[in-house]
Amino acid sequence: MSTFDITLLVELNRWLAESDAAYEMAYFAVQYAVYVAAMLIIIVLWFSGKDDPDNVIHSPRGVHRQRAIFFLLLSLTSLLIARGLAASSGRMAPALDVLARSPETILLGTYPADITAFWMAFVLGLAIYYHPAPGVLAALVGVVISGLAIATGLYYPLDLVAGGAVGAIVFSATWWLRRWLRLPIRMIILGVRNYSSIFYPFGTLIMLDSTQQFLGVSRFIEWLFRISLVR
Amino acid sequence: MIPHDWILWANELILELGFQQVAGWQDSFWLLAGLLLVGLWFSGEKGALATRSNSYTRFDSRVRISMTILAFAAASILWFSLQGQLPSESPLDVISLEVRLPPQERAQWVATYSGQESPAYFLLLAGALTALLATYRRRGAFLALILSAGAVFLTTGLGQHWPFILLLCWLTGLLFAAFLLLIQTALKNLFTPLLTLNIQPARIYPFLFLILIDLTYGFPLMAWLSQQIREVF
Repeated sequence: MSTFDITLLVELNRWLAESDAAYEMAYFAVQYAVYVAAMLIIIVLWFSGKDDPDNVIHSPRGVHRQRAIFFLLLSLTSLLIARGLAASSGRMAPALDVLARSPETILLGTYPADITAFWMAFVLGLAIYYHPAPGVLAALVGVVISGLAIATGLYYPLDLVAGGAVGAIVFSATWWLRRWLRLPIRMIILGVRNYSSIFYPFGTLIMLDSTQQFLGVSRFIEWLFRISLVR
Repeated sequence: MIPHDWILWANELILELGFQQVAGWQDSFWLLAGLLLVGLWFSGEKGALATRSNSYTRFDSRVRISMTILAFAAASILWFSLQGQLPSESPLDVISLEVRLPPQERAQWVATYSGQESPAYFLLLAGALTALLATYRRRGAFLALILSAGAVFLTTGLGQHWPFILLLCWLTGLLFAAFLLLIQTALKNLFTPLLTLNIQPARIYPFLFLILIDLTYGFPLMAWLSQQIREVF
């Protein structure tokens, strides 16, 4: 850990810890609000565009839906890969070893940061598949959230940078694999169309899991691959 | 007294089942209720496609769900206004019940559920959902009835509420929802704005998702808002 990392962390934390309310709000933004915000954007995308029952896949809504599912899968994959790498690195949150105040944490490690991996993949998706403007806006939000993440003592600066790199790598990989992803994504859209009363509660469950930092999804992946991601 | 015997009997059974395992069941209830409502909201055939004799239109389904939510809200307001009239002691204060939880959780449990009795809002919703499900399938209503009975049993045995409060709450939810579902034809025109969900869904569903988050956590935001309103008046 560089001296710069520690100094930045301690200084930002000292500034934020002056107000308990500010600290709580920052903690809430980093731990929960980011994920919920991403889900809200995905919901907006899912219901955007004109629907055409005769052309479910290629109608404007169908195209939006393909992107919404792609963003969800992309961001979740980045998050889970970052969590897997962090669990193997085992480096704990600075709040546990540098700062006096220890927020509740569920992660087995924080290097690379899952939050920036998640958000970076999402930002790149928005910028490349829609327009650079929302991508730039989301990137600015990411910078603010990263600052808050350091100030709350949940991550070291290097964790966040490494997390962003994971997100970018996952996005690049899925960009090359997009042709092979097209079919399963379209099948999901048709499934939602025909079995909406089953697919929507399932999708809602994943979306509601965003309020728990995708703890449920992580537990499912742990069970599926017999690995450890969260405590 | 009979309620005391019921509570002790239910408590003994729950201790045998494992108190710790069932103590947090209400969290799952709100989540499952939310998912059930989402499933029903997107069920049914769209418009003119509903031609089979046993099918229903999505719009009809949404009207029924709206009626149920309205009934739950009205019943909640009624019980919220009656809160001062409820017994000042909870079962945990009067009966010596065993709470097999780790010491720290136990202290929090006793602090939460002792003192002034409060309405069982989850049973208001359970009663309303029973009435709603009866309009779809009888089997669904029967299942909801059994699950509600299970909920009453668990809540009684855990010492969270008095049995008569639980039964009254469940009945209130059921009767309010049944009444609104019976007169739904008369009120149907009021619910035509629901059609706007098909016109501007991208603007409305994000808000519904936030409300759903509140529901799955047992309405902490609504409780905070009502507390603020109570303090003002």
